[in-house]
Amino acid sequence: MVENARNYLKNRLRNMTIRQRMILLSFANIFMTFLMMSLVYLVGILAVWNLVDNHGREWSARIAEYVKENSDKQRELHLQRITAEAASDMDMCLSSIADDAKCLAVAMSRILKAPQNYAPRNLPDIHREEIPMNTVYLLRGKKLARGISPQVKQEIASAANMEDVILSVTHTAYVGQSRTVFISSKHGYSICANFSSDPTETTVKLSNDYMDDFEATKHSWYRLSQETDDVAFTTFLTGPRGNTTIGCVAPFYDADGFSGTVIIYNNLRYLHQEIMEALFNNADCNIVMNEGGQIVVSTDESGELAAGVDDVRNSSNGDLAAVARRMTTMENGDAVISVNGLDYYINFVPIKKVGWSAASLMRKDVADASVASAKEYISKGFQAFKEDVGQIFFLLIASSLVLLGLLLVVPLRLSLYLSRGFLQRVNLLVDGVQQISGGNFDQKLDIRTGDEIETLARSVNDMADKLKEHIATLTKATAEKEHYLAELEVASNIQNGALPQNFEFHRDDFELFASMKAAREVGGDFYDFFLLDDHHLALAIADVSGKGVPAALFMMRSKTILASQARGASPPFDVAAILSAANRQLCQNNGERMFVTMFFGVLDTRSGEFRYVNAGHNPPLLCRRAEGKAEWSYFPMEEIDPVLGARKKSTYRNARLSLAPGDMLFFYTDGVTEAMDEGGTLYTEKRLKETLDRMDSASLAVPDILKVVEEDIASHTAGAEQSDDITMLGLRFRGSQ
Amino acid sequence: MEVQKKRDGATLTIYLSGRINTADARELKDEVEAALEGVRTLVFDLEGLTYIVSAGLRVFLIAQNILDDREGHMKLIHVSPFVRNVLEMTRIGDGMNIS
Repeated sequence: MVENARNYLKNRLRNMTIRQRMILLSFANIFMTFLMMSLVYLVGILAVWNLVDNHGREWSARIAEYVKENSDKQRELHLQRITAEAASDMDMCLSSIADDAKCLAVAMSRILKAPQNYAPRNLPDIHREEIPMNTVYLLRGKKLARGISPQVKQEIASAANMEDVILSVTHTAYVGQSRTVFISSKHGYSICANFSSDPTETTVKLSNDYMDDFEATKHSWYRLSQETDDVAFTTFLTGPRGNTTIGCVAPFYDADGFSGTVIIYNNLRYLHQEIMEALFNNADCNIVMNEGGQIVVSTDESGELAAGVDDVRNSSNGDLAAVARRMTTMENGDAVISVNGLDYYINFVPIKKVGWSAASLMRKDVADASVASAKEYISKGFQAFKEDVGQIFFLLIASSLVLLGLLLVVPLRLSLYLSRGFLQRVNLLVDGVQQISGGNFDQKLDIRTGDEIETLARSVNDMADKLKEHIATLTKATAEKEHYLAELEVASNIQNGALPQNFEFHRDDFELFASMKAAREVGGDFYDFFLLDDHHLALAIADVSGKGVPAALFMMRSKTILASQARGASPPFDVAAILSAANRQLCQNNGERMFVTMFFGVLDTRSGEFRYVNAGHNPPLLCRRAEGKAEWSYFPMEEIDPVLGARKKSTYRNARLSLAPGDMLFFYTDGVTEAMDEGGTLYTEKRLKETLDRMDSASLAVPDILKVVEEDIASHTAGAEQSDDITMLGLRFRGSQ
Repeated sequence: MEVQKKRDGATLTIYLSGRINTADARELKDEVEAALEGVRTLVFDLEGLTYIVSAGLRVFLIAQNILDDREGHMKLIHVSPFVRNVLEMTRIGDGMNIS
């Protein structure tokens, strides 16, 4: 199956036209180029794609990690910053309160140590009249309910001068804020002022603890001030108006020493609302913890982080308790804690002035979600990038496919176009050559393309011209040759038809045999023999001058004339007269001077008398039956008369010879003695005689004698072409025994 | 066969040399006939002639006939023994001036 497909392909390839080959070649070229380019291209694209994919993953992970770290850091820094700001603001706020308290204490001490310097004054008594807000008034505590000693009364009058100090310290700063100032003496009186953030609250309304039952020395804050003997902040207090507050205390002194304490109550709600919210609105929750582990301020109003009196350090929430412990030891740090069922990042900063700590909390899930979303964002970005790159690659591949189409189509069309042009010329050439090969040698190729095709066309034209010449020559030669061959055949036919072939005489008185081996170009030899009567045998051997048909015709004529002259004669036969008559006849109408050499004789088969004439012919040989060895001898040259047909006036003489039984005569034409070998050497009369002498001619039959001579001639010529007819005639006289 | 002709007024000398075979004989006959115009004395110089076929002898016969008709003379000179033998054997040389 595969083998068949391969063979089929092989055959297809072998049988393709030039055009198909050219197209296939250019197609293969383009295709291979494109294939290789595509391979490189695809490998490149795949490599880049892989790179984008791997690096995309890696870098999106790295960047997400970086973003997370950065975000964590940012969150941490943010928390730190806002916590620090809160702490700082808190510090400032508390410091200013502390400064106020200190200032009031100093002023009070100065008055108490030198009361004579201050004119006595009266202050409205809250037990006797309505006290509007922002007004300094006198509060007689429980101790003074039953009467006031003159010394105390005098001191109160002096201390009333604190009104100016209080108003000057608090007036601008405290109006509209929720604060209360108490300057409480060990003697039981207090000089007070109330400020409210609530504009509807116009008069001062104190709780019972701070009215009739008020006994400053019994309050924790009083003892705190007395014990610390310095400015200090309290823990949570229930303020004079029943609010939860923290207080700032500062001791004052008279000449005898500690004389009481100043306290500024600060409403927690105020601190929360006015300070903390403004500061902490960037965090999820903010708290301030005092040195006792209590949450002093909180943005949470409920839950574990709400402000309250519990010590958070003892919280059941271990994480929170640990953080609280770190906060109360003035640590600056951060942690992750779980409160109210949620995870928070917490950052805390100490408020050194008061030994408190501020903390900001941020929901972990929210913060992490933003990191996660950043990570997702980057990941998505990379995915999008990858998709974009993928799209670009797709476009590249698509466009290269289009390019392939163009590459395949455009050069293919081009090569089709070019090959058509090229092949048109080739086809012209082929057509022309076909016409020429069809025999139209006058067809000329007219191709002027300036390339090899034109050269080829010119060569074809030259070739056609030469072919034409050669064929003309060949045609002529062939015609001549054919004519010549036809002539030869005619001549040969004439000659062969003229020669008697029957040697069966059924007689005992003589034995005769003749042979004629014609040359290719018939030479015009002939022999003849016939009985003139019962005991007269006529025989002739002749050679017509010239060759071919004219010679053959002249031979026929000679033979006919001779035969008719001979048959017309009667005994005793005058051979010379016969030839003279024949000569006269042959000379008539013989402008070409054709002539024939002839030996003619008549044998009396009873007596052995042989009368003959030699008309220009080669002398024959005679073999006498001698005692011992037979010897051949030529007839004498003197007997020779002129050839027949040359001259009308030629005369002929009778010659006579008497044969004894057993004598032989050997006649021949010049084809024998002039037979040539390749070197042009003639056979010669000499060699003929030697050959005849050598053989045992007496015991050989006449045909055998001729055969031996023929063989010797053949051995002399040794394959050289026979130039003339070889004709022999042998006669043996036996007599009438 | 080589043929050279030398014309001196009414005298033409034809030099024959080499071998004359049957084909040469035809050619020679035509050539000699063509050259005999106005010739009174024709000389065949056969010095270089080594062989001649019997048909070649017809040329001499024809030429002799033509010159006899216009009462001119023909002679063969420098005849080699072979050629002389042929001429004698055929008796074609009879009546020709041979030397």
